[in-house]
Amino acid sequence: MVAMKPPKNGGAVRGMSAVSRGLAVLETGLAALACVALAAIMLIVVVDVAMRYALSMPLGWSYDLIGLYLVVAVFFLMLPDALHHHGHVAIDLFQGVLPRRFRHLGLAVGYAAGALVMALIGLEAWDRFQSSYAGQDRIAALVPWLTWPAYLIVLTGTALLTLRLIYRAVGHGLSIFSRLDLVEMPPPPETTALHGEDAL
Amino acid sequence: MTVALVIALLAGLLVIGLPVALAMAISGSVGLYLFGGMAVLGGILKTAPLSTANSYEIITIPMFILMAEFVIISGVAQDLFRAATIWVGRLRGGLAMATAVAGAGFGAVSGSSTAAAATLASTSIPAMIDEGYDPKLASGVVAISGTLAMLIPPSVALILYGIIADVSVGQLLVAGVIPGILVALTIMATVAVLVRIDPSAAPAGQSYSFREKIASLSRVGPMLVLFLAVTGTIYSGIATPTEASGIGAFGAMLLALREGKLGFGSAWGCLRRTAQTTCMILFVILGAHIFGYFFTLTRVTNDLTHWIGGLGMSPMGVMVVILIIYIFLGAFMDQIAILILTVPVLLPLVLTLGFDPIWFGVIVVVTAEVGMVTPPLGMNVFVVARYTRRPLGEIFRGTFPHVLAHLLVIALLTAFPALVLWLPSTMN
Repeated sequence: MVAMKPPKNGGAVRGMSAVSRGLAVLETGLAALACVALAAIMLIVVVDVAMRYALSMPLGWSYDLIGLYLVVAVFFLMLPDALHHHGHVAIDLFQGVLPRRFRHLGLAVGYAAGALVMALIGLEAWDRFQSSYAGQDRIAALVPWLTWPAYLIVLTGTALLTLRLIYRAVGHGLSIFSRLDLVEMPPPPETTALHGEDAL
Repeated sequence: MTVALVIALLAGLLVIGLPVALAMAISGSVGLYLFGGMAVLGGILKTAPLSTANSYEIITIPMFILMAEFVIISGVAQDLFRAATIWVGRLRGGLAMATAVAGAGFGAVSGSSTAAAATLASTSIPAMIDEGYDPKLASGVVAISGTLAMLIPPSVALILYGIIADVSVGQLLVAGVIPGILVALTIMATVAVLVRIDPSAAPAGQSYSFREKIASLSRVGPMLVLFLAVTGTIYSGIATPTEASGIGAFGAMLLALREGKLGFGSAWGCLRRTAQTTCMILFVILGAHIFGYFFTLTRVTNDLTHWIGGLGMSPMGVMVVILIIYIFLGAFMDQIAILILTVPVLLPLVLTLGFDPIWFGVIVVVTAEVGMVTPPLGMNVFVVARYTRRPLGEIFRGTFPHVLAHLLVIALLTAFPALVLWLPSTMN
């Protein structure tokens, strides 16, 4: 958030900050679980390879455990934290060109639409979670893992992401009518923050 | 009409600065809703999210990113430059050439172009400036050498292409080896030409004894072992790319541990950055899936292929146009976004024209490298500028001769596809 003067919008700024901090606590918790899942993937792959080539006894369950739960956890549990820290690649070429209010308006509409799409994904995940939990559905494999934890992970990640998106939409919406940016703005173009291409 | 509306919506959301993944998911969802109502949209949103991540093979991406993170904190990457300096530093412009060698070496254990540029910037530029190199030459060679990591395996860009295009990741990674070496040699040759034109830009360096040269390799040994553990096992067929990526990440972690650089805090930082980057990539893939379903249902790709087929251009003529489009896009867009947005649309056309998908993947990545060092969004130039506090204009001017040389390499690889395809054809 930008440095702010207390008068007019002080209450709104404090309110938005409090909401953001509350969400950040949950996001950090989920991010920690994602990191644990990531470390687990590495260790399981190494043990599996070692068992396969050294003892001809591969772990029969590693593919399904990693594919069904762990990669899903790394992705979905990290989603809200990555958005919060502007970790998702965006085109910032026009950042300094667009009028401030127009940009807030566009981002408010965009994040609101994003919240709707993510909420729909969450609702679909909720449906699948309910039916697989009720039926105690399992995959057809050597170890018949339950499927509902995967849907629960999707549901958890998208639910928190939806909240962060709603927060962003409201923040940008309020910022249209304020002199202050009431929500975290993306970092200035490229020269101060790496993102996107960092993965390459 | 619907297609035009959805593409306009996507463009608008991208311009406003919304994350690319979200922009694609929103515009794709709007398109699917307009096409088939909630029934179609709901069906896609029910299956696409989980199917994006629900895969064992996709772990190649986080594991190679994690490997690079561990290599960076271990500090051994800096030793590459020192070793390369001892071997080629005696030549005029030798430190700049050593930078290219170190860039290739770093690329062999890391798939991150910007990480390579940052590492090289912090080590080689101060050394070159101290030796009296022209800052423009020094920073330019660092920015371009960083791009080698995108091409030399393990390359996250090639893995991403492999996932999007559904082609063998192992063959793609191995296919990047010869073009990577070619680009490294081209950078060195460009430096040689530049210092011949202007000898004052770079002095000759110190010479070292053969014993010192051999001794310098001892610090490079662990990196070589890591490279062989990854690319060597993939090439020989001993391990799949997913297995090799896990082994590579674990090996790099042991390396960081051996160097005494791996504490709880640094390990946590590596895991968190890796998880965040992985999440970013998978989110873009999810957005592209949703958008891609819309394109598939509306047969946009088929129509495009038929339209271009009806133009009467030769396949090579079409390919030249495609490469020009990539160079243009690279100047304005992030490389991941380019791959995700263009490959699903262009690959069917490329296959129809009779080109090999492995070759196309390598060509696309080599072309995308150009965008890393050209204005206005040359990411490697920004990284070098941040580390060295040199003016952006100076670094862009420094990379310009390398961009021209790079275009020659692209022409060479286009004219002789065997340079790309020969090595993977010899794989087990």
